[in-house]
Amino acid sequence: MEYLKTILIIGSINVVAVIGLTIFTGFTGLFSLGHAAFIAIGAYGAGILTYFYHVPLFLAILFGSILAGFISLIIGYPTLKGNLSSDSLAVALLGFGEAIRVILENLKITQGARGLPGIHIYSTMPVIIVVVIISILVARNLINSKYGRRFVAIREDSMAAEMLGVPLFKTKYFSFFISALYCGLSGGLFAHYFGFIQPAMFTMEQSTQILASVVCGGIGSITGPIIATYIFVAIPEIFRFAKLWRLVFYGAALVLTMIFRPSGLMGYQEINFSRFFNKYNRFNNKIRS
Amino acid sequence: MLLQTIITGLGIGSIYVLMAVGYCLVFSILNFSNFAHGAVIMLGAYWGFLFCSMLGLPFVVSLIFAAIITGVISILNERLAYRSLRERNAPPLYLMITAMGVAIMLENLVYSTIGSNFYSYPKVFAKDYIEIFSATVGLIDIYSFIFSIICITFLHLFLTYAKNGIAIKAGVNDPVAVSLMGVDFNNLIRNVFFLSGIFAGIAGVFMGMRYMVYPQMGWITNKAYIAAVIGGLGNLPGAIVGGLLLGVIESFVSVYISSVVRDVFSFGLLIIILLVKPLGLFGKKIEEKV
Amino acid sequence: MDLLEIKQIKKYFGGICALDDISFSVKRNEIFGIVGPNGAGKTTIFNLATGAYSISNGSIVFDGKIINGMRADQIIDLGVARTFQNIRLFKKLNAVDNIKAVLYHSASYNIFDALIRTNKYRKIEKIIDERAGALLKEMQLDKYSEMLSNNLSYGLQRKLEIARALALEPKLLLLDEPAAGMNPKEISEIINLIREVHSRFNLTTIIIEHHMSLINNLCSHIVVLNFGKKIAEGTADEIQKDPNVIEAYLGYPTHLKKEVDTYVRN
Repeated sequence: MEYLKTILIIGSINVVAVIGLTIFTGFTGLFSLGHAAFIAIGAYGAGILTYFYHVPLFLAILFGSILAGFISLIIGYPTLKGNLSSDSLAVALLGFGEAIRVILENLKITQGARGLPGIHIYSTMPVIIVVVIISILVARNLINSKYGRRFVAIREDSMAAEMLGVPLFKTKYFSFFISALYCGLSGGLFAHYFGFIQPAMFTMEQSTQILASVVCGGIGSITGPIIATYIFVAIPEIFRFAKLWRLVFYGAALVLTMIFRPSGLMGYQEINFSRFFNKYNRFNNKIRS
Repeated sequence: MLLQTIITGLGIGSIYVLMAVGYCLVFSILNFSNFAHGAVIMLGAYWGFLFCSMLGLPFVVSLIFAAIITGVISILNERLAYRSLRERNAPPLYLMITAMGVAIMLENLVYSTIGSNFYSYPKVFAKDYIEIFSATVGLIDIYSFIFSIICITFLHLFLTYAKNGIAIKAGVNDPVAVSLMGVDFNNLIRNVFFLSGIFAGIAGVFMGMRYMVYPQMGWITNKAYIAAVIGGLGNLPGAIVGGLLLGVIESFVSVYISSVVRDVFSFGLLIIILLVKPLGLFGKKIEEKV
Repeated sequence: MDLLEIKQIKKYFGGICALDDISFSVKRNEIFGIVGPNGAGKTTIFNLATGAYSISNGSIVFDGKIINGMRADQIIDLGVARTFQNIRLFKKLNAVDNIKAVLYHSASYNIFDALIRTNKYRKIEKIIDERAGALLKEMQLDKYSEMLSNNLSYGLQRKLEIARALALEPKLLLLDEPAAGMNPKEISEIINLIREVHSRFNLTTIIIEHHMSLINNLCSHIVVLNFGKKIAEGTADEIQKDPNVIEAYLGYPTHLKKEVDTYVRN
């Protein structure tokens, strides 16, 4: 039972970040290997406020999220304005992730590479559940609005989208900002669950983990990556021996998904309960007759 | 001091060049970023260490063996991970994600099997230095620089005069035409990856000698990607300039400001170049056919 | 005043001159044609007029305003919409979503409306739904509205692309080879469709085409390009008799026609 609770909590904390990256990569089609930086910013932003200044959790996490968003506005401008190729963008964001880590290792207030220990454990089940539910609802409403439609148009064919009225830079910038907010939020929750953060925890590996959830869960879907996140968290917990090989597994999952099922678990679809019920009813009727 | 800084910068820069060139070769022909390149470099360092330290082979022999092995690894990488995507005309994004997956897999395979220990090469020339005009210059910097010049020269000669090399240059320009002319495109790709792998192996060995050998060292290759972007993606001379420029700037930052914020400056340089010349120093604006 | 004026434009791609001193005007409510062999620079004109490329020289004036140098979405706001030579539908979206993606251009609710789904959001979404449905129905695509655009037949995809351009409520519609790859039956259908759409939506239309039947049937005024230069202008009859045009398409000058015919016959 403890097992299940841990999986649920860690999975849920990750899910918030995954939803953020889903908006940027899954729906807008932009590849990033540096989003762990936003998680780090959120974690440190929130952690420093509660640790040094005893700010209530809610405000601290909000601050962490907004701080991450603010930084994304600074970084997003040069990287998204010039209409870079996806490769250059990926490299730029990757560099950004590393730069943030180095900065965090050297700021006084973050206590450098030693990290911040002793953060209060504020992230409990109810808090996390509430945040996750709000995250999902906000994402869903965003995707089903004009903003989401613009994201998807860019993903599908950015040149045609531009020719048909979608403002490329503004839309990409907005998508980036939202994804940073989500990751910052996740970081805040993360800091207050583990109680200890250090820059070495927010590496490209973490970026890859969220990316793996997005890609394997399905591009263009919200529910797919959510499911994938919980699966990815559950497997190393269930198979204890797999812990060491967890990242090998992520890497292999990415490669195999791209080769055999590039649209992922639930590419471009969402879980549709009414469809399941229909199928179930039809099946039932078939048996009875 | 100034001269020393420059030479050290050229030394590390030349390793960046070796890393960047391998990456650029693949990009210029397949138009995607082979993010697994760093992992191959890391493997090169490990193999070189195996030959040199554990088997006691002479340095140059170890280097050659390691480079050949990484060349083969690179070919296998292409064959197993990329070929099916390439034949399906998958968008470059998919190839990048796959490459990332391969990189994570390889790095953590090493981590899980060999372990996270840091190994160091035998002090082949690490401690040696010579004096030029009152500057102390590490021999390793000189060797890296000279070696990379030799490699680049060989590459240039190969691309200009050798049959396979000319095919590669043609393939960079127009893959379809090249296959219509009777060149086996799959073979061509294999040759490109082999070359890329050789460069990776050499870079890995030098990197391992200069610093240490450990599973995460592949991520240093991010510098190479930055160098390639600075020079203009897909542009080989650009990669050379980018690598050297990056090395020299890093050296200056390390000496005159602080070695800790070195990486931040590398990234800052990238951002400045992207703002001023989004296609890199030598990139050309190609308007997409609508 | 003419709706679109192309004034002495030049376009260079590196060292290659794609368009050399091209000038013509398109009157309001006209159906205008641009023809010429492949590579003549026809699509380049569309790309310049919609802001995809930048002009090397000259100017483009739309509805009295100079539009070269404007961004694509600004030009769309002024009332220009286009289709593409290679169909560029949003492949993974179904037909109705392709239309909606473009209709959102004018949706006037903001982010907060979207997030909490206010009445304003609901109302505008409903309007968009209705407009998308109506447009599909007018183009007789309504029974395919839920189908993935990638799975539609080629002719239907071309129709959908036109519908998507119309969703922007343009004054000027640019059609790039709308009949490419179609059989004669489909071509006559699309001729009727373009004619109907042109009058129903009160458009000015410019068509790039290779199928002369379409051009003859629809266009009142045509310009012929070859290797980036304008070689003829006039009605369909006029340009088909123009020796420069015949030479461009056949490859040899008309005054040698007798010699060529004799040679071929032997």
